[in-house]
Amino acid sequence: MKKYIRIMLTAASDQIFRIKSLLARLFLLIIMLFVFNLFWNIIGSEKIDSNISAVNFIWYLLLGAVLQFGRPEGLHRQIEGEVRSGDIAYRMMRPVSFIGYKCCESLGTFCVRLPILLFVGAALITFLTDGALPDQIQALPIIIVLLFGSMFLLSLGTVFVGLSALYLQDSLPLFWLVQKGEYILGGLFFPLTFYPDELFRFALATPFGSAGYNVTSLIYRYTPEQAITATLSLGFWISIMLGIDYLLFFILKRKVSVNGG
Amino acid sequence: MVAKSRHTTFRFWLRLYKTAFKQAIALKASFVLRILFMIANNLIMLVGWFAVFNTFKTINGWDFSDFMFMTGLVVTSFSIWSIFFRGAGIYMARLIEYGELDNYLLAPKNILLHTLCSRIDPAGLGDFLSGIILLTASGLVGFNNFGVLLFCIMVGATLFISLNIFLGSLNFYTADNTDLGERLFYSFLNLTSYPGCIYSGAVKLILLSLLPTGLISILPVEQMHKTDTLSLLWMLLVTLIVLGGSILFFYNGLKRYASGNKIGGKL
Repeated sequence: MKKYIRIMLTAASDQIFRIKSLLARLFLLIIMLFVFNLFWNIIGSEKIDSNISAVNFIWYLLLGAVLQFGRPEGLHRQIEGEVRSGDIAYRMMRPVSFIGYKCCESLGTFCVRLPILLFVGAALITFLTDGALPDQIQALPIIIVLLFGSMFLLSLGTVFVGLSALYLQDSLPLFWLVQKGEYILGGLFFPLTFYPDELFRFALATPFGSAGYNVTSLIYRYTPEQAITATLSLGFWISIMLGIDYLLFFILKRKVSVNGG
Repeated sequence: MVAKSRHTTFRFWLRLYKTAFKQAIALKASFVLRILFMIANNLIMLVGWFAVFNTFKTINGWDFSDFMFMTGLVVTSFSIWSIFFRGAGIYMARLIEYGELDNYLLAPKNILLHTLCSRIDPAGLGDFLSGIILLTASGLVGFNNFGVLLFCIMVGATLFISLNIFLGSLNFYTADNTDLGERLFYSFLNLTSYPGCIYSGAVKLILLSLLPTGLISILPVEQMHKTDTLSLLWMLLVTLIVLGGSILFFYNGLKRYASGNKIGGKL
């Protein structure tokens, strides 16, 4: 366990020196929040969900945006490069799990980015909404903890995309497909309650809904039961994704061995 | 003499594509899968927006067909950059960052054109196909405005290429800008993924001039409903300025380029 914590700390300290990358993310976050605010001003809330006021809506989207921008860039590309070049053979010789290593790197990066993105985003929202707070702001500490679970799940998804280079060669189209899944089915573009019932239920049954909406919507609909449901759902999908990733990695290991490393 | 030079450049261009395309389709199953994934990628996005429009019917005067047209135009323009000029953007940034531009500098060809065309993305064909489907399905395109549509696609593609030349060239000026460039590109794309009708007043003005995403996401939809020559001229003017500016930015940056010592062959 110690070695994984060390990997997280190394990834976190690496992020502290990547100021430009962080500034670019902050810029993107500010643009997105600004667009969300414009979008909300036009559509209003009455018709959709009485729980979602303008403040709740924009806070909900901020948490989704933090999840998006808090993840490390190009993880799938990095893994793809290792698979295609055969460098992955060297990784296998290390006394750490390849999948665990990549996920810990993601979580370490997220540790640094989350507080900064959340702080800047919250400051901007406070300015845009005249200091109003979301209905369940007291749930923020729980949401932050759950966001780490979401990040773990999303990282497992990204590792899967990177490993798929074994068959696809170029994993970018699959990455974009998964990313759109996160946006639409994870409710990172707009709350899932905007959708018709069937699509809403379908989205909730996917890992995207579990990593996104289930966690981020707690900011306006938190109850202890909802938080437990979100945790269990995350646990379920993390186990499934871990299984899938390890299976794909197992196949990959056999192929690498056939090719001679 | 000039005609001969152009002919040579064109032949060189064609050969670059031929080689890059052969490379891309070397693995046929992967090639087809990537195209299918790109189509699915665009459709997923549209399903989400369909659900939203199904609830709201219209958003600030736009209905789903307007949004479908906007998405089709963005995707088609994006695919032209992606298929033919993918060398601009992150690939160019990496070449500069790792000092690998030497191979291009040594070739007796136009360095910018050579870099732009040296990489193609076959998955862009998926974008192109879905873009055409969306444009057709929107019902906004007819014989009377087909010329306007082609003009808008050219404007969109030129903006994507120019932006990527600009962002790729950032590494000439200060180091380690590859991620920054990629993020800024996504910011640009993000502004084109919401219906253009949500922008108004000063924001709209900025998006039609300084940060010209509005030339892809706002004006084209308006032009398909009612063509206005002045708006088309404005689109042309801004696009030419952006293209010219990005080319100047590239060549000015090239003067600062520090060569690498890595030995290797490149297409």
